[in-house]
Order: sequence, then C-alpha cells, then structure tokens
Amino acid sequence: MIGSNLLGGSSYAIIQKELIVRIRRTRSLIIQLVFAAVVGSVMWIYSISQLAGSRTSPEVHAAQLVGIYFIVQMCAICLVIPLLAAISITTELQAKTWDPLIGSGMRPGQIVRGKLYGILGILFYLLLLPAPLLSLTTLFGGVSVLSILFEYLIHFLAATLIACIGILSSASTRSTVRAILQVALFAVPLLIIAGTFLTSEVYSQGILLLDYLESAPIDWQFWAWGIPGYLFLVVGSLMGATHFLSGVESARDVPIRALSLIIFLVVVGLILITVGPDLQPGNYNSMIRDVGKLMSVFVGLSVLGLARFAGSEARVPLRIAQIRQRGHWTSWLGIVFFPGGIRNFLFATVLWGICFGATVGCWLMEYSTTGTMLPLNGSSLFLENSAKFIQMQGILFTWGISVLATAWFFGQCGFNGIISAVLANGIQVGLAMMVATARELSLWSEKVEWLSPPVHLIYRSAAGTGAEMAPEVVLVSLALSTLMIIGGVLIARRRGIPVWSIKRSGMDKLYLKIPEGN
Amino acid sequence: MNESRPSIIEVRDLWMSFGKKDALAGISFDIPRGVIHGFIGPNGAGKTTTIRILAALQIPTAGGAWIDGANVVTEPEEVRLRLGYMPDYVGVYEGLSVMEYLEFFAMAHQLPASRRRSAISDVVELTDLDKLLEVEVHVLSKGMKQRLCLAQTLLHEPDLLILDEPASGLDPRARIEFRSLLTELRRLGKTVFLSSHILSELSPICDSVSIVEKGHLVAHGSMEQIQNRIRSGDVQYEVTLVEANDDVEAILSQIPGVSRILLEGRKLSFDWSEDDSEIHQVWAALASRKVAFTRVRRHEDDLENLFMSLTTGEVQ
Repeated sequence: MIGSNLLGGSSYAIIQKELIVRIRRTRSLIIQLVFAAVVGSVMWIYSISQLAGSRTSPEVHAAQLVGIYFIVQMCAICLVIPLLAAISITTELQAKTWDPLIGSGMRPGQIVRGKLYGILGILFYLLLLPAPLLSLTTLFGGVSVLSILFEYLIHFLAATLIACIGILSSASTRSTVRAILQVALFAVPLLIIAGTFLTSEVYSQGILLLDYLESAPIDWQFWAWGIPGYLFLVVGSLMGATHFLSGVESARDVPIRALSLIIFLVVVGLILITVGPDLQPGNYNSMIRDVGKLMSVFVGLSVLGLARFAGSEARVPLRIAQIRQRGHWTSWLGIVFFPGGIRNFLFATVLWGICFGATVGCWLMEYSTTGTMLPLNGSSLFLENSAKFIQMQGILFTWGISVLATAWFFGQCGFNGIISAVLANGIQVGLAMMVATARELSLWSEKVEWLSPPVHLIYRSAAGTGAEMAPEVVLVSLALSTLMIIGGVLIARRRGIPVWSIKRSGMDKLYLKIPEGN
Repeated sequence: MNESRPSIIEVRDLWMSFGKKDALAGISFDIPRGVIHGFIGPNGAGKTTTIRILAALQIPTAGGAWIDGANVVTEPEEVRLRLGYMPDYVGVYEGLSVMEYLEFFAMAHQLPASRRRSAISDVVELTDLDKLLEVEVHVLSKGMKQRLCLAQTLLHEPDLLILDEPASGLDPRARIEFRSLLTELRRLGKTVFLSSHILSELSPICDSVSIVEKGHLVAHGSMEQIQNRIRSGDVQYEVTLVEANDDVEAILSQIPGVSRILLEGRKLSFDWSEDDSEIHQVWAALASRKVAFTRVRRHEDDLENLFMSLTTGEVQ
C-alpha cells in the first residue's frame, strides 16, 4: 500500500484509526457545523456591512474578507488543535487501550507520528471545509491564489507546532487537564500575538500576509533564527513525546542528555553570533561592562537547572546496564551520556563548562582586539577591569561546581533529580538570604560573604572599580565541592551503588546484576 | 521461533521496586513450550507486575526475563513479536467495528496486506466472532470483548499468549467457553501463561502453576510436583454405596493403610496412607464381600487447597 510505505505501516494504522474514530463521533459533526456556521456568519455579516457602507473598493473588500476568514480559522486552530493534541495520548491511557497498542509491536515513535498525522488530517478536513466559500472572494479581484495558499501554509505550520507541543504535553503529563492547560499556555499567547499583529498590521490594510512580506521584507536574521527554531520545536517535541512514552527507567536519559548538549552548543553558538559583532576595538569594553555582566547572570542561573542532571538517580537504569554489557560499540560512544554514578556530576559540569566557556571566550575575543585601543582609553583602568572580570568568572565557576557537587551528593543519598536540585538550590538561596541579612544588619564581618559567592559578587560588583574580590571565596567553593564529592562517594559505597562502573558483580541486592546464560 | 530452547519463558532474579517497596523480590522460573501455566497469588502479590515485565511494558529494577530468547529489557520489539498480550482490562475504541478493530491491529502488527484478511478470518473463526464483524466493539458484552482482545493477540500468530486475569468479570457460561478456547489454543501448540484469581477455573486446564506472594515465588512446577511437595500424607477417599452396609467398617479396618473410616448411610469415607497403586486392595476387599458401590471420589489437593497451603494471605 502506497500510504503504508510513505507513512510507515503502523503510523498509517494509527492515522486510519484516529480519522475513523474521531469523524464518526457526534461531537465531530457538531464541531464541523459550528466551525462552518461561525465562519459563514462572520463573513456574511462583514460582507453585508461593507456593501451597505461601500466605502472601499471590491478588491480591498475581498482581501479583508479573506483576512477575516483566516482570523476565524486561526481561532479555530488554536482551540481545536490543542484539544485534539492534548487528549491524543491521555485518552489511550484512560481508556486502557495503551497497553494493547504498545503491546502490538508499535514503537512509541510510530504512535506519536501517527497521532500527529491523524490530527493534521482532521485539520486538513476542517480547513478545506469552507474552501468553496473562500474561493468566491477571488471573483472580486485583489486576492491572489498564491496569497491564499501562503496563508494556508502559515496556518498549517502553526497548527503543526501546536499539535506537536500538545502531543508532548499529553505524553509527559499523562493527564488530560494538565495537558490542555500546558498547551493552552502556548497556544493562547500565540493566538493573541499573531491575531493582534495580523489584524492591526496586515488585514486591516486590505492585504494578506504574503503581500505584507513583499511590501516590508523581514531581515534575513529573522528567518535564520526562526526556521531552525521552528524545526527544533517541532522535532524536539516529537522526540520528547517519544521518549516519555518509552517506559519508566528506560534509556531515555541518554537521548535527553545528548539533546541537552546539542542545545547548549547551539545556544553558545547563537550567543557568539549575536555578541560577536560587538567585540571590536570600538566597543572594547563591552564584555567587562553590560554584556559580560548579563551573560554572567545567565550563566549563573543555568547552574540552577543543571543541578537536575547532577542530582539525578544515582543508580544506572537496567536497560543501559544490559545494553552496555552486550558491548555494542554505541555503548562505548555514549558512555558520557549514561546516567548514574559520578557521570551525573561530570555531565552537568561539562554543560556548565560550555556556558562558562562562552562568556570567557567572548572576553578573550574582546581582549585580543584591544591592542590598538589601549593608548586611547587608558590601559591601567582596562586591565584592572579585565582582571576583576576574570576573577569574577573564577568565583562564578567554582561556585557552580560546588552547587552541582551538592546536588550530586543528594542524588547519592537517594533523592531523585528534582528533589536533589531543589535541595542544592535551596541551600544556596538560604545562604544568600543569611549573608544578605547579616550584612544589611551589620551582624557579622565581611568575611561572612564567603558563604555565598553570588552575594559576594553582587556586592563587590556594586562597590565599583576599586572593590577587591576575595580569593578565599574560591577556596570555600572548592572545599565544599571536594567535601560533597567525597561524601557522595562514601554514601554511594555504603549503599552499594557504583560510582563509576555501570556493572558490578556480587551485589546482594541485585540492582545491577545481570543474569548469566543469555 | 527458537525451537531449540526448551523454555519459552525464562525469568531470572527479577526485581521490581516502587520506591522502598519491592513488588517483586528476585523471582526466577522457566516455562516450557506448549503448556497452560497458571500464575496465581493474592492481590498485590506481583502478578500483574511480572506479566507487564514479560510483555516488555515495564522495565524491571533488576534481573532479566527472556521470551523465546529475546530479552524483555533490551529487545522489547522482538519480545512483542513473539507474544500476544491481553491485559486485565479490555479497552476498546468507540466507533470501530469488530472488523475495523482487527484490521487496525493487523496493520499495527505489520502484517502484509495480503495476509491480513486471512489472519482475521482465522482468528474470528477460532474465537466465534465471525457473525459479529460489523458490530461496533463498544456494544459487545464483556465476554465478547475478551474474545475480541484474544483474537487481536492471535493475529500475528505468536507462540506465547500472556493473559492477565482473562476470566475476571465473565459470567459462568463465558468462563467455560473461554476455558475451552484456551484448551483449543494449547492443542494448536500455543503456550498460554495466565494469571487468575478464580482458582477453580485454572485447576482443570493448567499443566503447571506458579504461586507468588509478596513478590516471592512460593511454589512453581507441574500440578503433580506441587501436590507431592505439600501433601501431608493421607489421601481421603469418598465412596457412595449402592445400599447401606454395616459390615463395611469391619472389612476395611483389616486392610493396612486404611484409617478414619466413617460410614453415614450410603456414604463411606476413609483415609489411605499407602501408595495410590495399592488402593485396588480396598476395591477387591469390597467386591469379595459383594459390597457394591456406584461412585468413588479421591480428595486431591486441588488448586484452591494448594493455594491456601502455600500462602499466608498477607498482602503487601
């Protein structure tokens, strides 16, 4: 079967089932009737009002009429597609049809793709329903077929994105209400922003989106960011949904970690592209001033999220242990991404290092361009600021390591990733509050700032150029990191959990014992 | 199919933990081909967890299981090809007819288009659904839904069927019909691994059983092996005489191995401590004194007795 070959047999089965089940329901008929009635009524009322007033030409009327149609259609997309997508997986779980489905040999990826195509099939049906009505507008002139097709394309892309995010929500939350709320948080703002823009800037001018783009071309940077961003969201959502459906304690951590690494590399690349043009002799001070500080804040905040990786489950999922035991070459390649043990900490540190490296790299780029500018701008001040900036980065880096090490320690104690991250971050927040309070009330000496490097950085940065950084802060962070890692290793040994190995023989509890003979 | 393997299911040191609770605490067993194997235990014993792991729907915390040589953890797709799984609750898609439902699963199993019709025709004939092909599945009775679900699991002709509580919620007639369906499947060479709470349903059809309690395997083997393991010694016989006869007690008391003789009208009962092969002495003694009897019943340890003997009734 051609369809079967193009879409993959099992995905095609899902599409067919989705279309049959959805279209046969009474509610499907009601949705179609309501959709057609709303579109027809709005366009009818608008046409009558315009004809009665007759202030504009038929061409402009036609374009505005088509514009109104597409606004109504966008509303329908933003209401219907999130609903269909949010229930796509949860209904299978609630109706207890999921187990037979996955037990039939269908892979989660095939099911996710089938669900997406099924939703898009229904969307196609809904979009084409009023097409005969829409075609009448071309009789007035002023609206080209190409413009209409372009509008359809944009709507279709928007619907695909919403559907992908809805399926991801459905797969991750496994609760219809939560999935609907999550996808609504994305779809409603999109509807408001796009609807406002299109109504005020495009359709009210009597033109369609393609005409608008021709009259006011958008910078290439928008497309350079927008197209990869769109593809990333679509593909990432589908991949995410697939991995959420691949089973608890599965090897899903591996692709998620690989994807995270790619995201970090892409983000760093984008930062370098964005900041790069500013790093020239004329702007030589940008890194040690605003841009550098802004980047440092972002880098500092990223460590709070990375604690989730560092503090994740200390034990190695069985599937990974078994795959590794089979000695497949990919298991050697992917060992960096294997969860469990000290790898959790190392992986988070690598991602943290990438963020940190981007800031330092930008500073180095700027520093290397300043040779000709120094005589003009005063070398001593620049060097002083540069030294302070790099000192700040050192404090930030070692602090980040200590946060990750603390999260890892809690992971070894038996907490899951989120709890470990919350505990590690909570300690930092507590220390920051304590230090800030003590300082404001002049309770302790300045040395107490060592306890909270971020607070120390904020105060010293605010104090101006002459304020000295305390190198002891770095030592405190390093000492804390060492303590946490040693403590974590000891606890792991006590609990019988390997720190580095993903296979350990002779464990009484059998956690990683792989039975022989197969 | 890997015929060289004597066991179609191999389970080794299987652990499943939910937080601090061990739903399975290191169970191991093998199931040979071509048998009906009952998997029994009280609520919360770990039956469904084991079944879901065997069906590659859940990753165990530790240990491993193999279906016809395929590892349920690392080769879930292979495993699903080799077995048919029927969950304890049959969910169906509203709006699909029986034919469409089976076509959907035939496509899901990736059966070639040329084979789909014949596969569907075979399974509906086996499960007696051939007259219901155009009926929507959500209006079927529970028994018919069970049959439909079983038909779905048979579409790709697996050698192993894993059925979780297939008889629960069925009326007596549907249970008997379902039981004969399972017997027919065994005749066709399928291995059936099923869990059930209704022990009397399993007794007549099971070749072997596993009894689990609190995540531990407390007994595993053929019915005979388990009976021998727990048998206390004496077997009780119940005999219905043609007419009441007071001499019977004296006759039987002279035979070594007979004890606790009880005569109530035409009902005679006694305990037999010798080997079963020697019981003919009793019948010969009764015949020689012209004591006629119409019915003999040997009180074996049936599955319910075995279950009660081996489990404590504690729930996790």
